[in-house]
Amino acid sequence: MTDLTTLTLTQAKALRVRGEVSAADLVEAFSAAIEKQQPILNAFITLTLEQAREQAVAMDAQNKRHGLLPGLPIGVKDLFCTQGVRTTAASNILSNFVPPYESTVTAKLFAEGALMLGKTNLDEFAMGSANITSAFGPVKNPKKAAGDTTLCRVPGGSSGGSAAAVAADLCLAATGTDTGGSIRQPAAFCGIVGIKPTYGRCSRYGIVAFASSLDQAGPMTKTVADAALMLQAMAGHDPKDSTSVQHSVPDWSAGLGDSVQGKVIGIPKEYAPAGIHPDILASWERAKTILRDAGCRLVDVSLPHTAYALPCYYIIAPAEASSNLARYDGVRYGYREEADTLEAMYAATRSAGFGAEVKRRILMGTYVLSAGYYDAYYKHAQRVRRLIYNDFISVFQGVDALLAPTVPSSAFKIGENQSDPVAMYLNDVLTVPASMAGLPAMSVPAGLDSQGLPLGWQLIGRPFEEGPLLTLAQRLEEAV
Amino acid sequence: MTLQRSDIHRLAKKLAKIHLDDAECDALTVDIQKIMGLIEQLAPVNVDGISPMITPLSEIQPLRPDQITDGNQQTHVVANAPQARHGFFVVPKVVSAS
Repeated sequence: MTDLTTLTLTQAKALRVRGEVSAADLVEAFSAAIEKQQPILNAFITLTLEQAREQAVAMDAQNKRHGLLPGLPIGVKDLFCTQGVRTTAASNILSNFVPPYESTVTAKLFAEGALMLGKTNLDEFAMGSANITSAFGPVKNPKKAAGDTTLCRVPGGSSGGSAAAVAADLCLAATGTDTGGSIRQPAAFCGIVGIKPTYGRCSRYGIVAFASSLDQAGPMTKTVADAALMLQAMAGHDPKDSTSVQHSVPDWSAGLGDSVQGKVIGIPKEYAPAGIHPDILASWERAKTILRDAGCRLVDVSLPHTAYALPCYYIIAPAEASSNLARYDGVRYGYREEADTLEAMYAATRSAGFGAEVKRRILMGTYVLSAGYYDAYYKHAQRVRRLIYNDFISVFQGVDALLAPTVPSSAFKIGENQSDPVAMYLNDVLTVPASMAGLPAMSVPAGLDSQGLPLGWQLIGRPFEEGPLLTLAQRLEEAV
Repeated sequence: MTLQRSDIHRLAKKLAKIHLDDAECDALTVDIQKIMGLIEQLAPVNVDGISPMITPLSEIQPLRPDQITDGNQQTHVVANAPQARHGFFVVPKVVSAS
């Protein structure tokens, strides 16, 4: 029998629908893989294997094989609240938090038959690009470079546990969230597919909030077809989230075979910033050739405010974070450090509960929102954000999608880029612009660089046009 | 504008409610000065006549009907509280005898 863990989500679904594999067999196969790999990769914070096993057995007993994800085992980023299952956001301040409710995205996935194997590791409160800020320890990238003797590279972040788990065949697929690149960058570093849909496509209800005008959930999968299938299960309007939109959810899987003949693809010249690795540029050229050969027309375009996206993000995201994270005060849930007075309890709790990167961002956010600086920093950044958005909207009058690299380098070693926070932030330089504009954007595996490490191609689309992105992505995937 | 150590200390204590020890405050000052160097890059951008963008959503979101859809969740609400009594959150005493 084939190793069930190497199946794609789509292949596993076909076997389940035909009754050729039981849900219990799938769970058993992944349990065995997780038990072997988890001590090495640290991809999960909490495992729910027993619960998955029980659900699988019950599903098999009733011969339940319907839904978009019938009995298919997945990983869930530990930023999604899961009823009765500890949800930590990889922070000490939530290390004992057991949500009494279910996030809308996980509720939808479970309603379609998905089984949760565990909660995947991430950067603390999704703040990071290497999964090294987790209070539960770093995650290792399952991929090695040619000269590496051991697994020593970061999986990217913040959805690093999800990316590593999918790449190492520890689950069929996993959920991620993306605020400035947290789905796309780890997908590129681990050689998998990740899509951040349009802001508003997936409900944010029950996702631990980082930056509310940017956060968006999406699937992390082995193939483009898997991403289309899983996104279908995650998306849709939710009355519990006032920023989720009432657009109907198209059948993305059905559109994958559409022709890309005549599609106009924009090549943004600003996406080759100084310091970008030559391998990345060579890989970008390869993607252009693939799409040209598939019948697309390539045009050079300019998004003049691209260079401002990263500084703009590092005002707006920390501002929103400092406000969102004010709720962690040791009163209603989470960790409390006891002290004699209420004020001292707040300060002691937040000091002990938050890690260094979270504190940096809270303080930055507090500063840019404070009296006297609000207009100069926060409001100014919101205006620059509109210029970034306007660049995209103007370019999209002439092109159907944009093609660029996902990351400026391949996965670096654990420990690198750690002394300077800005060096770490630069990892997101190519993913942040689409986030600022709320656009759908995805990363597709681009093959390997000269060190043998995965790279990613990024496709950015018009608002709510995830379908054309997935179709283009599949043409790229087929050619690799 | 460069943030000084004293600014970081004041922000943490007064606004962010985070206690910082001396070593932490020193390290954060160095890091935040680097981050300030990044965000200062926005200063020269001309934004005359540009309205602030508060959300990427271009349409006005419809309001849902003003109806009570849940409630009676007291047990759930206090289930994760570090300290709760009689269905209330318990915090250190906020009134003094003097």
